[in-house]
Amino acid sequence: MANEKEIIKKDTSLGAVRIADEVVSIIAGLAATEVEGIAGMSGGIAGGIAEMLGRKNFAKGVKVEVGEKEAAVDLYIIVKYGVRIPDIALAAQENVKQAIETMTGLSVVEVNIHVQGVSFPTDEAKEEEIRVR
Amino acid sequence: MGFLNRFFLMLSMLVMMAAALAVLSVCLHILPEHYWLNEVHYAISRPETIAIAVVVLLVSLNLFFASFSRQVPKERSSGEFVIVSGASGDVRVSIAAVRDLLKKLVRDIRGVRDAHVHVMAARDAKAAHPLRVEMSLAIGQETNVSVVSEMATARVQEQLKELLGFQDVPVAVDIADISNVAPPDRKRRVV
Repeated sequence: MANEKEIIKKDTSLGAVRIADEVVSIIAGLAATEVEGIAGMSGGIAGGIAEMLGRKNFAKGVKVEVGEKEAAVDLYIIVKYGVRIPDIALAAQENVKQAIETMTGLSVVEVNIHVQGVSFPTDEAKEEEIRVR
Repeated sequence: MGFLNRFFLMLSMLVMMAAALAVLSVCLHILPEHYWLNEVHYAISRPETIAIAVVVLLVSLNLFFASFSRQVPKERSSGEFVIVSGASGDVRVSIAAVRDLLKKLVRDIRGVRDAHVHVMAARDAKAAHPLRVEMSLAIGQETNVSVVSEMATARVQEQLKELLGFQDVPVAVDIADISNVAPPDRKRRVV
């Protein structure tokens, strides 16, 4: 019996290929964090508590809607201070779309970006730069 | 609720207050029974009473339906606003994120003791200015008000242009307080 959170991607004589929604979320999350200018994903209070308890969540800040052939993604991100949001968002959309289409074969219909915050360099990071000089 | 409806509401409340006082005076026998019965008989025999009753009914109906209608404000100060809408999807920015960023920038200006920033996003996508900023600053006594205001406005507009690509965002600056209290020590002033 198929899990309702999985889609049957391919039914061959050798068996069925099933892709869980969470897999698509993880691919999207990792592809998004690769983009220069994105400080991290915004997971809300639940995500923050889970991380404090030591649980790594690669799907944090990602919501996906997965059908048999298509997928739609919503990314909740925090950008670095000084970047131009439209440029970063475009790069993230392209990177995520390419990653999902390459790895799963699904067609990505849309990647919506939700910027939830701006991250400033921390004081520790500033002091680190000074020592290096 | 518009001005006219508020006026009607005020009149309705005055009428209700008068009616409540009348009922109280009847119940407490302040007005003799034969007196108010006479007045009621006289009123219902007059055709003007019908006209007044119809007008009151219409006004009441108007207020009744107005109480269910919701006037949507033209701007909002919470949630997200769209900066790019393309074939690949939308790019939305949280108003709170912009507000926190601008607050931090303005507080770093020399002479500014405290800042409260309000960011308003237009609901209509075709609005001339998709974003509007209002700032309320507390500045030091030694600070030149016009210099700080201009600096704050320029910094906010520059940051919004860099971050979002929005040109000439309207910025309103209000000097709420002029204080002679020493500013808090900054953690690091030199590199």
